[in-house]
Amino acid sequence: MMISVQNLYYAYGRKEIFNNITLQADTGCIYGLLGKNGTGKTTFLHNLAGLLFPSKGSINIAGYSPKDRLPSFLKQIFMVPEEFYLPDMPVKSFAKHTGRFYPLFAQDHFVTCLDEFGISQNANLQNLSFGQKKKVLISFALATNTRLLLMDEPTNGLDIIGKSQLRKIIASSFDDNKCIIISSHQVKDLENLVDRVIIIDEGRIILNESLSRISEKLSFKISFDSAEIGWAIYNERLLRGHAVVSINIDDFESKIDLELLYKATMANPKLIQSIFNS
Amino acid sequence: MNDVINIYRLYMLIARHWFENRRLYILFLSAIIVLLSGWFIFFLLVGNPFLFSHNNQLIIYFMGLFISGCLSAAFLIRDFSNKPQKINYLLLPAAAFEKLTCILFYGVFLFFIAYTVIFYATDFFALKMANSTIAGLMTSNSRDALQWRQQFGITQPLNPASMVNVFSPGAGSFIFSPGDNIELFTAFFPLQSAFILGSIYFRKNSLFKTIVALLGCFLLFFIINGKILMPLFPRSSQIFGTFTVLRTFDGDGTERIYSLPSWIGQTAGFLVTYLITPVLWLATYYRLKENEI
Repeated sequence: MMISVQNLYYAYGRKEIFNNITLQADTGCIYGLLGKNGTGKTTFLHNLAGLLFPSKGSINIAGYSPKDRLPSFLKQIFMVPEEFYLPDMPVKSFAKHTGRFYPLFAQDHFVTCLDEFGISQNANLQNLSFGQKKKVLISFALATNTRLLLMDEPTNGLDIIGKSQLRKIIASSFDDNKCIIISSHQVKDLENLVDRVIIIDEGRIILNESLSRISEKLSFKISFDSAEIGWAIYNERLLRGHAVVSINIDDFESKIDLELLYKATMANPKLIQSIFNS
Repeated sequence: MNDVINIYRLYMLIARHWFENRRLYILFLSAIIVLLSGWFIFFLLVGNPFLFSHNNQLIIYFMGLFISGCLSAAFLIRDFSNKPQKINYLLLPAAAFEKLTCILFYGVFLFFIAYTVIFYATDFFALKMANSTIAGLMTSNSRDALQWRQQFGITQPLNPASMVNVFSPGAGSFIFSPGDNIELFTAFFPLQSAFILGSIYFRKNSLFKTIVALLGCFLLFFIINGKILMPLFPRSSQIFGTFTVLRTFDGDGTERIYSLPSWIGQTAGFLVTYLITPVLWLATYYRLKENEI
């Protein structure tokens, strides 16, 4: 396993953030980490990166304990924080001086990603807008080719086109030797991108399932049938009909609506857990 | 070993640090040039030929060294000043020892060399200008020259002012006695190291917090010494040396001296002189290694 989190506890002073979290994650998968604001998504990513140390429990990533922050560990991970820092220098120089710390850094891939985002290599970082800087950092992160990539709210600050470009670039940069964990409270942004969904709430993981298993167990559809709406796990009134999440009894794999899944899980966590545990 | 120190990675770190901070360093060194030049220009404008004595040069050198050294240590290590910069710094694939070495390379080693070079360069030009002005006034019989000689009581030809060797134990008498300049060097490096540690230890306003912490330490030292230790001894007792010699007076006024073996004083002196700085660097290393955001 690339990532093994065992019985993780974390608290800010007396405020408990995580209570006994256990999680395994492997390469070849893009994880979507969902949760309300303030549920600890960022804290979880910071624990994985070794920026915060667990109060109890252990984290093992590729054989390393993140809190040691050894260079051989750090060159295998990259984190795109929600609030980030980029120095005052041209984009090209930033890549030159920082990229060489990452043995698998691919300059040509960096340029490809920048081109996709429509940013010039010769631009100075300080002259770029927040969204453009974020695009540079995301391009750099993907070009480092690290085994583990942590992205905290990567779509914040990106325009609609930028979000779409981000999904495209991540998908094209991904391979089976990598593991990407993307946290977001904007669930829609992760659609058609993630392979597995992790939902955190009140210090616990309430759902950790692959999309294939979710579509096997749950059904997502628009319904006009009042009986079906009545026994759905979750329903939401639309302009026409209701969007419903129900148990997939027909073995028909519907298209997963991440936002509905998230809402259904938050509304009925125990029921959802029992469905996946059965 | 590769996770503790790697020369190539250290070189990359030093190069990256320079590229990222070079504008700030150049600005800071320019400010030192302006301040030192301003000081010497003030001396030139006053016109007093004795202002360029070795003593005064030493005072300028050390005042500038202490002020700019502590400011540079507090401000130039900016990577811990806010969360995004701290994340960027902590996640850069280099060992904590390499990051510390990079900080010390710029903050201590390069700063000291750059400051000393700047001091000598400005001192050289200031002395050259002062000597040529003084030589002109000494040979001239103009009214201004006569007035100048009268004002400063100059009756004999003056020797040209020379540059002070700040590293020589015999350089001037400084403020107290010969050799004080060497002791000031031994005081400077621990103080600068304390500011480096403070810039990593304190999250915000590290300069002021470090000053307060240092003053607190001094205050604690004087309270322990004056209010706890000294009352244990007879009245009018005095302590000398490296706290190894005690002088007391009996009721009839007879002086008594109690001294500890000299090796204790020498060892304590050695520890204070040479060990505080490495100990502070070690504390900085562990703070860097165990720092969380």
